[in-house]
Order: sequence, then C-alpha cells, then structure tokens
Amino acid sequence: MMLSSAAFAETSIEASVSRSRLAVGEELTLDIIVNGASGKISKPAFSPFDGFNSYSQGHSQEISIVNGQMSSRSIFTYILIANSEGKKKIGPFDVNIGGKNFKVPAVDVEVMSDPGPSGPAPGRSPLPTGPSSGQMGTVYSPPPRALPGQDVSDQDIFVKAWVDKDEAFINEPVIMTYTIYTRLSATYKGFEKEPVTTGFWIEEFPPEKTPKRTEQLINGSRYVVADVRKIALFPTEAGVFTVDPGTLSTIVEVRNRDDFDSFFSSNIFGRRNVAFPSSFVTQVYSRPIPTDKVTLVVKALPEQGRPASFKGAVGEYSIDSSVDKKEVQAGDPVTFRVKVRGKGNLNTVQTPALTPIDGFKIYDSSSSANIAKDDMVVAGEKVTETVLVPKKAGEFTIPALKFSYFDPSARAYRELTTREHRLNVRPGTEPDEPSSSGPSSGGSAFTPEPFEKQDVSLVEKDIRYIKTADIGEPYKGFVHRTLFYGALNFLLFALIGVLAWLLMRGDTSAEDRKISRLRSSHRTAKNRLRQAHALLKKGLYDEFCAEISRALYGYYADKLGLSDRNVTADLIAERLSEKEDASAIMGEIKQVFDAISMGRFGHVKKDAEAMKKIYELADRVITRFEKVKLK
Amino acid sequence: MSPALSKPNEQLRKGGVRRFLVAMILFGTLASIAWADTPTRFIEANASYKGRDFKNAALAYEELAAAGHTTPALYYDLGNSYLRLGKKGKAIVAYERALRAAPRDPDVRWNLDVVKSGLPDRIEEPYGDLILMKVNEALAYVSVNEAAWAFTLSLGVIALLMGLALLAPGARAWTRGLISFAVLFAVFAAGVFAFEVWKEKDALAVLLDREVVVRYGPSENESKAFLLHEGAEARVTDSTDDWFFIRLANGHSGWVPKRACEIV
Repeated sequence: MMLSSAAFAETSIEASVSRSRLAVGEELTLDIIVNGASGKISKPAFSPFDGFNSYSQGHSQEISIVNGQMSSRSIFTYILIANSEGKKKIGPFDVNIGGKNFKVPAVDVEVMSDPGPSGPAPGRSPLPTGPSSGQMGTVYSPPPRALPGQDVSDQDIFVKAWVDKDEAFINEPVIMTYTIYTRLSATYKGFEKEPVTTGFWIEEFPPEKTPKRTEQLINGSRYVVADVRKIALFPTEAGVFTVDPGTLSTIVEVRNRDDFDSFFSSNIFGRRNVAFPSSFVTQVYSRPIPTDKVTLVVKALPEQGRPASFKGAVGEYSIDSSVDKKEVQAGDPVTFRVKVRGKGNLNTVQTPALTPIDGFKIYDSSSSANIAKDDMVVAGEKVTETVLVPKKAGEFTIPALKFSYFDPSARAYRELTTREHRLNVRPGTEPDEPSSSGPSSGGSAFTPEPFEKQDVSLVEKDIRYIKTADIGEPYKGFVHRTLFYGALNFLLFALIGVLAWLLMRGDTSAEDRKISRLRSSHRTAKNRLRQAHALLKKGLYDEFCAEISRALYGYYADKLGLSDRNVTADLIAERLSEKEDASAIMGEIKQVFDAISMGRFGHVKKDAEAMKKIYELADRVITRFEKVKLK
Repeated sequence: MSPALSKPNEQLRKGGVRRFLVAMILFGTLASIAWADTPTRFIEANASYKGRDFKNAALAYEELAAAGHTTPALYYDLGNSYLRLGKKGKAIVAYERALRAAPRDPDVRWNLDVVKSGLPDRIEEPYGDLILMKVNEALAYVSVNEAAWAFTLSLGVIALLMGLALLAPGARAWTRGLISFAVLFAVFAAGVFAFEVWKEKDALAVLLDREVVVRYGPSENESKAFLLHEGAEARVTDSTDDWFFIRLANGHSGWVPKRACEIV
C-alpha cells in the first residue's frame, strides 16, 4: 500500500491506494485517512484525477476512547477506474480541518494497457471461473455481440438480448442470451412480456444458481453486467425470422446522483458499501426494460448429398442398436433397442423404424428422450424400443438400420448404419401354424391349445384416429336460448293449464247436476202436470197416467237426488226432517202413488172423475212438498 | 277401340305416369339426403389427414365448419388435425365443441383426456360436496340440448295424458296414476335441465397462446396475478372491449386479453 502522509501535531492525514499497478479498465480504492482530528473535517479537495474515472464511496468515522483518551479516525473512500495507460499521479489533496488547511501529497500509480493473461479474448465463451460477485477489478469483456450497439451513456439500466450466430440451418441451435447492464442497484424479476419465438422450437437453459456478476466500463461509466437468461432456439423453417425477445421486469433503486457532496455530511456515521453507496434519498420502483428485436436468417438444409434416410436430424450424433437376447423360443418376445445419442434437438429426432420382417410380429415401439442442458449445449439421447415376437423357428437377421443427420459445422450430411443382429429361434411349445395339415393327426380337426393370455395394455398413450364417417347432427347452438323452444314450452304450459282446469270442472259437474236438478224440480214437475192436464182434457187416460207418474216420480227423484225408478214412499219418509209432521203429507203421497199404480197397471175403470181426482192430488202433493224441509 | 276399353287404358297410363313421378321425387330426395350426408370436402380432408398433410386437413375441416356443417365428427377430426400440428389450444376448442354436441362419444372423451393430461397447468377443482361432484360427473354425459328436449317432452306427455283423461272419463283411474308419474319425471327433468343451463351460463374459453399472463385488471399496466399456458380452460364471467375476466375451476380469477383465447 502506497501512502503519503502529513502530520500536524496530533492530527495526521494519509492517502493510500489499494494497488499501485493496474491495467486499463481495472480499478483501485483510494482512502484518505484523517487521524486525531480536532474540529470539523471538510471534504478533501482535489483536481480531477487524470486518467481515471472516480466515484466517491462515502466517508466513515471511528471514535475510540482508550484509557480516557479519545481518538478519532475519519476515512474518505473513492473508487478510481483507470481509463488510460501511463504513470499517473493521484492527488495531491487539500483537507481543511477545524479551519486549518492540510495538504496531502499525491500518490504514484502505474497503468498498463494489456489486461494480462487473466483476461479472455473477445468472442470466446465468457466468464472465467472464480468467485462470482464482488470480483471487482477482473477484466471481463463480454463477447462483442453482447455489447450494446449504440451509445447508451444516458441509460442507467438496459438489456442486450443477443444470439451467438446470425445464420443457422434448420434445427441448428442458436443460443439467445439476455445480458443486463446496470448502473443502479437492481433486482431481476423475470419477464413482463415473454419472447415471441414463432418458427422456433425452444429449449430453456436452467438458470445458474449464482448468476455471475461482473463490472464493465462502457462509455466512461461503470456498469454491473450479468447474464440472466439463456434460451436455445431451434429453427423449424427456412427464411428470415425476427425474434422479439420480450420485456424484462426489474426493480430498481434510484439514488440522488447530483452531487458527490451529498455523501459528505459531517454528522453521519457513514458506512462502506461494496458496490453502491447507500443514501438517505433512495426511491424503489419497478421498471420494465424492453429489448431490441433480433433477426436471424435460417437456411434450408442443402438438397445435395441428402441421403434417402434423412428425416430432419441436425447436430452431431452416434447410433447404436441392441437386442436383449440372441436365442429365443418361438412365441417369446425379443426387445430391440435403438439409441441415438449426441448434440442437437433430440426431441425432434426420429429414430429409424423397423420394416416388417417375415416370420415376426412387430409391435408398436415406445420412445423415450433424455435431454441434458449442460454447458449451454442441448444434448442427450433418445431410445426406441420395439418388441418382436418370432412366429416360427429358424435363423433370422434383424437388418441394419440407416440414420442420417446434418452436421451444421461441417455443412455436410452423414449417414450412420447400425449393425445387424442374428437371432436363433428355437421351435416353441406351441405347434407352428399348419402349413399343410392332413388328416394324419388322428382325425380330430381341432385340438385346443394352451394359450397364455396377456393384458391388453397400452404401449403408448396417443389420440385415436379421425372419424371418416360423418356422423352426428350438425350442432346449431343452445336450443334453450331459441325463441322456438321458449314458445313451445309456453304453449305446453298453457295447454296443461287449460286441460287441468277442464278436468277439475268435470269432477264437480256431478255435484252441479244434482243442484241444478234440485232447483228445477218444481218447474219441471209443473210443466209435466200441465202436459198431463192437456192429456186429461183430451181424454187420453193412459197417456195421462204415464205423464202424471213421470211428473211425480221425477219430482221426488230430483228433490232427493236419485234416479226416477228408485223413488219409493218409504225413501221419501226417511228423508223428511224430524221437525216435519210427516203423517199428513206422507198419507197423501202414499195415496197418490197407489192411485197412479192402479191407474197404470190395474184394471180400473178410467173415468174423468177419477182421473181428475188423481190430478188434483198430485198437484196438491207437489205444491205442499215445496214447503217441506228435507234433511 | 271401343269406349269401354279406352277408359281403363287411359287410367292405366295416367296411373303409370303418376307413379313414375312419385318414384323420381323420392329418389331425388333420398339422393340429395345421401349426398348431403358426406360432402366431398370432408372426404378430401380425411384423405389429407391420412396422408399426414395435417395443415390442409385442418383448413378443409374449418371450411366445412364455417359453411355450417358443424357435426361432432367434423369437430373431432378438426381437433385431431390441430393436435398433430402441435396446436393444443385450438385442438381443445375443437374437441370441446364436439363434446358439446355428442357428450357420450368415447373417442372424443379419450382424445380430450390425452391432450389435457399433457398440459403444463394443473387446475384442480377444490374438494367440495362429494354428492355435488358425483352429480356433476353424471350430468356431463347429458348435453344441455338433450336435457331441454327431455323437459319439453315430459310436458308434452303430461298434456297428452290429461287430454286422454278428459276424452275417456272411464279410464280416469289409471290415467291419473300416469299423470303423477309424468309430473314427477317432469320435475326431475326440470332439475337436470336447470343444472345444465346453470353450468353453461358462462362461455367456456380456452387459451391459445403458449404463455398468458393473467392480470388483476383489464390492461397491460395492471399487475400480474398468475401465469397460464396454452390449453388452460376457464369460464368467462365479464369482459371489456379487449379483455375477458375468467374464472378457473380452482377458484382463481383474473383478466386475460381476448386475442389470447378462443370461446368454445
């Protein structure tokens, strides 16, 4: 540590730097330490440091009391970043303590141009290994693609979304990285608007546990730089595509940056911060950061030299095949495995399929893919298993399979072949399918064979095939929202209402009828009597009797609610209420009933006198009965 | 020719002509019905699908749907085509439309199940009343329209029985019994119908975008509530010009842009 000091009585001041040799872009810490000051310390004054960008890091004060003796120590800290090479002087400094001026001489440092062997060449994979955050002073140059395109000195925080190549073949991976540059204290909060990647298959790289943070000098300002997200894009079609990388979401802390003086109030017990000084005036708010669009040219795979077995695989692969047994009994299953391994978009790689082999029943294959995303490369393996069951004995060969892929770095197709597998199939316990079965087997045409049943289980779950028959009625929407349905229901309800009312009325009609009969009984009887009288006048005695009978019986029937033929004198007597003096009227009723019976059925001389008597009797009986009360 | 003979001949000729005309009309009607059954575009679409040209198959099926040929088989085939193209959201929309018209079709149910099991979002209904859940499951086998017609039919049966009771008073004893049954059935049908209508009162929406941010309010400036992915289904309970307010089966709700989803 280089230091220079000035001592005045108990007060001493020294300036010290953390390193005296550094390279362009690196930084050093400058401390101006005042010991045993008495009186107010004003901030050190100095002319701008030639060849450096400088920032204040604050001011700290320590007071210790030892054996009754108080001693104080104040430290003013600055960060200086070298921006040009050569031998530099830092200082001299003027410090005013309690009205007295103290001068501190300058410190010498040397700035070199070459960053030395510790820095990587631009364009290579960035980020040297080592402790991550807090690694101030390491020169980390992001690859040129990751640097901002235009002058961004007015921007506190911005994101550069960049791809590692401008051109790619279909299915060749393009890595898109999001690099945040910030001068403010910021927290990355994910994406407000996700990238639009139509035309690409995406594989996300898992986020690093401790994202590497480094610092970079851009346009004279110091930025903290970090890669926050990486995506592998696999193009699916040829053409020129524009990817909208989306908008990031961050929370930033903005401090009052107007004046370094604001850090030099003498009443604070300031604190030393590593990266950003704290201040009483900070504002925290969320800030979305847009990104510029990225254009990619996707080239179609060349037609020339494309093998017939090519099915779209791009990358670098190896292929291997195997069978789980070489000797098997007919009817026992054999599993044939094909494994494709390598770098590229293994999800879309199609492993070569087995064509039907005579003598084997081949079942559907199942595939599984295992993808790893280490070191920013999408790689892995894809395994396809097919079950074969030999039907008859003999020697069989599972043929070699061809698998081709396009190597984008060599810009050439490669074709790989798996090896053949020989299978020795022994005859099984079940008899082979009869080729020419004669009657030699003892005459029985059918021998039941023991058969081992297997569960019908799914090999792979997939959707069922389309319906080729156009079945079903065309769907025309919710029927209950149509006018027709509402009207129909309304009509039915109305109909039911009307019918119900009608039904109920029918039930009481029997009652009504009784009442109406009762009411009209006298009138009806009177009408009949009149008619009888007319017949009497004419001398039609038989008809007269009949009419009188009808009138009388009908009258009592109506009164009592019975039918005509059920009427008897006794019944009438029963129905008279207790109060009535029954004897008189009943006598007359009996009399007239008898007279009529005689008149109708008896052999009595019918003369005018007798008939007239009957008429008068009937009339009287009816008239008097009107006054009679019934139960 | 004697007049007596000519008359029968004339009649025969006239009858023959008439019969021929009738036959022609019948044939024409039947033929048009038969041809209307399977439009040629449908057969073309099936051929495209078989040849793995899913893009053209989907286009053809969509054409037919736009022309009004909205049968369950068509929507099912459309769903298959979209799924083969990787468009899970649109596939689910198509399958749901097929299911609405044919709720018991085992193929539609199977395919819908396969798609949904491959979706990244897990949206589960909270454990509610077990009976209600069972009822809900059972009613999924009946479409709204079927419930509507069942109800109307039961009303018709009641009216018919009542009319019968009026016209044939002697049979009133057993017609009364039947009417009671019919009324009970009508009440039951009304219950099923009401339940189905209530379930369908809000439109069903399916998300089409790969990732959709659901917000607390209908604007890009509103804060984010949660994230959904392609294929997620929800009911729309409110809307503005450009946004839908959706409610998920697990109770969560929020606003999504209209262009990110499609209504079944």
